[in-house]
Amino acid sequence: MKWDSLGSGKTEMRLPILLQVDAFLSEAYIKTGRVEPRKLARFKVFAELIRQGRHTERGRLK
Amino acid sequence: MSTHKKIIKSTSVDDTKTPVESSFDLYRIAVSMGKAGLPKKFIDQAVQTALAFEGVLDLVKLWDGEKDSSERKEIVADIQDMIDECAQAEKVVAPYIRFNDLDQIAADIRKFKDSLRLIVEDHGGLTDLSKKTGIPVQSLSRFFNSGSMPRRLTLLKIAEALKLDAVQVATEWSR
Repeated sequence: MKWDSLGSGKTEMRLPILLQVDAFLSEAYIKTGRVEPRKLARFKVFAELIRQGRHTERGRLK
Repeated sequence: MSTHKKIIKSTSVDDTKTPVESSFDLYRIAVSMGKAGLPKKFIDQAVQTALAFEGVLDLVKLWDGEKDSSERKEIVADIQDMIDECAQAEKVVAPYIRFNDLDQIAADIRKFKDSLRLIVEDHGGLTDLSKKTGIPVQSLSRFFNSGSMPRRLTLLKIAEALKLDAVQVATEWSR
């Protein structure tokens, strides 16, 4: 997991990344309120789908 | 404005499937979901998906332990999102989107969803649509209020439920 601080630094953008042979940037989100457990659960699902090759790829960084 | 920061932690994602000992909890929660008025079709799909995906099981357990009704609605919408994601059987390579195009795309999606929402209201509103599709109202509400790209699967369910033709649910930004 990586994060960026936005604006004054009070806002954190979370960047969930799955490392396999490639690194996959999954669904990013702003850390607010009680969102974290839900987003981590979603990331678990996305990670499993990536492992199974059932994901959607929308671009690659070069 | 933005400063790159460090790696917080490497989130470990367990490879194992849902442990058998969680099944009892899962079915107990499914009964609670039924009592809470969630659609049977949704509960069936949530249970099936939770048995295969630990993340969905986590969401189901979060729902069970949550007391705040608005947070529970968000969890239900998340579970439906994940049910739809898990329905994808293979890898899809979608077109790359340039950062500078995001605002225009978001505006297009907003316009499309607003237009579809009017049709839904003409057909009895979100509650009726929920009954016809088996998609929880919470999830439909997120669908229409968010600027995210609509899933084809959701659009097809809506079209089928309201007997709409292909043009009425056509958008180039479905996924």
